[in-house]
Amino acid sequence: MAPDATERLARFVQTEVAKDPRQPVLPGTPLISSGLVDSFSLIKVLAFVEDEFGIVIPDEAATAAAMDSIELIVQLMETYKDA
Amino acid sequence: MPVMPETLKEAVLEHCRREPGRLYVRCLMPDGAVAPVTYGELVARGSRFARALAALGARRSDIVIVILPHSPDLFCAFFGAVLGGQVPAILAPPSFKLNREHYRDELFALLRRIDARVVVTDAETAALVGAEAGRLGSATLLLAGDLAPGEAPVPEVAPAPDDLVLLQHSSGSTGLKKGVALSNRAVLNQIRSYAPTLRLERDDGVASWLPLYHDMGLIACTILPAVTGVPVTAISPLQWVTRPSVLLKAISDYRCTLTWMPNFAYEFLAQRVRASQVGGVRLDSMRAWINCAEPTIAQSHRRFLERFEPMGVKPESLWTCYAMAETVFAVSQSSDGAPARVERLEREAFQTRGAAIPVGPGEAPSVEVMSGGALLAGTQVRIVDERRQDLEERRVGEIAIHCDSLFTGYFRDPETTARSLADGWYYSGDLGYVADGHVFITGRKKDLLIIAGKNYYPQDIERVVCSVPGVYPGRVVALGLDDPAIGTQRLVVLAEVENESQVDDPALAASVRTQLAGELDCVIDDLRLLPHMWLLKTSSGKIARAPNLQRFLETFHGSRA
Repeated sequence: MAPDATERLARFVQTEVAKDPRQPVLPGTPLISSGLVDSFSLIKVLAFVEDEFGIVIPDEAATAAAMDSIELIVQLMETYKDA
Repeated sequence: MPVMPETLKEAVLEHCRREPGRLYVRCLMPDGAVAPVTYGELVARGSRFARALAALGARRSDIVIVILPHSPDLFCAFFGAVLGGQVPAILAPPSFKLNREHYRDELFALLRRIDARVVVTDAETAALVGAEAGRLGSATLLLAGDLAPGEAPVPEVAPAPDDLVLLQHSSGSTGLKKGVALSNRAVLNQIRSYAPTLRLERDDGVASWLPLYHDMGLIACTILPAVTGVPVTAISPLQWVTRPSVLLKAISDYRCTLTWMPNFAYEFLAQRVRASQVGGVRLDSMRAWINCAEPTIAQSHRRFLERFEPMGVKPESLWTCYAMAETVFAVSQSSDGAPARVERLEREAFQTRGAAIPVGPGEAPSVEVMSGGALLAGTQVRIVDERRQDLEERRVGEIAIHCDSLFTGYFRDPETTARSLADGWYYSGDLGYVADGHVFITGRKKDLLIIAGKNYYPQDIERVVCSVPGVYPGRVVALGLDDPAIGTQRLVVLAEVENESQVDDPALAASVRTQLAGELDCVIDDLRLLPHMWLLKTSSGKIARAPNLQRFLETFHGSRA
């Protein structure tokens, strides 16, 4: 994984996806369970991951619980980067 | 068509006797697996559920709660209770983000209030809510994974047409949910009039991503098919949210012909499906995309068509429907033979006097409305004023409905029932007008927010926000702001704070969001933390929604509603 993946993803989520861009998005910040991101916006995150990193996270893995923080999403990206 | 049976149980058994190998539902699982269930399997596995329910003491007409994720067992457990003569009610599985203590308290309160006998669920949910010693609150627990092996006979109980067949809970926080009680007769009467309106045939196929705890998922996409023998291709609602293209792929793969969706889904599909996900997908098998469950917007249809016409979507296949759990389902329905009407109304007359006066393009400032189609055969509608006196055609008022598929009442709630059901008429709380036999829905009399097809009472949201320390108690308002760009409403919450220093405070905002996600599974699109006395009160001291929406728009968007 590119070293700046976490940072790029966090910036994207904070500015393009979060309902309140003033809230800092740190690697461990809860996204869905904090009400900062709604589940209908996860599709934007998946598209970003696919376009920017060329990684497709399969549907059965792309659940809201498994994508509840930048850290978790990066873990998913690690798991499926060579799939 | 053969003679329609008189109970849901008979309808399913009839298919099983005639064609046990006929497909009832194929569950498409997120990992790509396909789990088909034939009528023979539905009755066989359903009977095993019925045997287990009986062994746990469930008797005829007892309430059985089903809380299961998308799976064949969701269908089999539901119909198992039907075969056993019990009254099933499907509830949403707990979302991972819900506060588990809160979910449990609400669920247990509901179980006590409706005296539920058994809860059928899976080990995950049972563990989450802290089931102990085979009990879940006041009810007995049945784990779907623990069914006794071996065949079970179909229970002998013969439900009567006027027996309740199911409860449908759709709005409000769990503990306060009203259970719409439906009899066999009401359900089958609805299907008797709805199926011919849709011109359902054996070779039709329903595609659905809708949850079964919602009336559209349960009645249109589960029970209507079970009675008419039209197969269903069912997708996980959770998978659909992250990959909406799965619906289009399923339609293409299985040549489905009908689907029901709330308005926002048309926009979501048009905007979010990626070209790379739908290579080779053809949608020309579809006769009907039925827009239902939240206000229908003509512009959403146009955008959907623009995106998907090249893949075979036909303009005449975009239908609309006006439906509610209290009438079992549909009140009106458009079709290719009787398309939805789209009218432009003079804005001033419409907004200030409730008069629906059509105008030509450019003649005057106007609003666009789309009808929910023509009334179903045998269904009557009146438009009434505050005193329930009839209004003339093209006057906006409350929609009252009389038909042979009305609900029996809100379960164990005679007071609420009496407020809305009188002399065979159901007073819906929806506002609209009638013109040339078409029903146009224009708003709600009751406060209800419909966000992406999901219903919320603003009072529930306000109560939760008020409970957050720092928020001024009693000085919060939750509003729905129509957003045509996404085809649904946005949730706006205006909350006064106790200390001036917390105006716009990001930390307090984060607490409010977390609390609301945990209790109501609800996300605020626009949250404003405001100084005390910002919100407008009426002369009677109430915080009214309309003036505060107006003030919000003027202050933060520089515009009028």
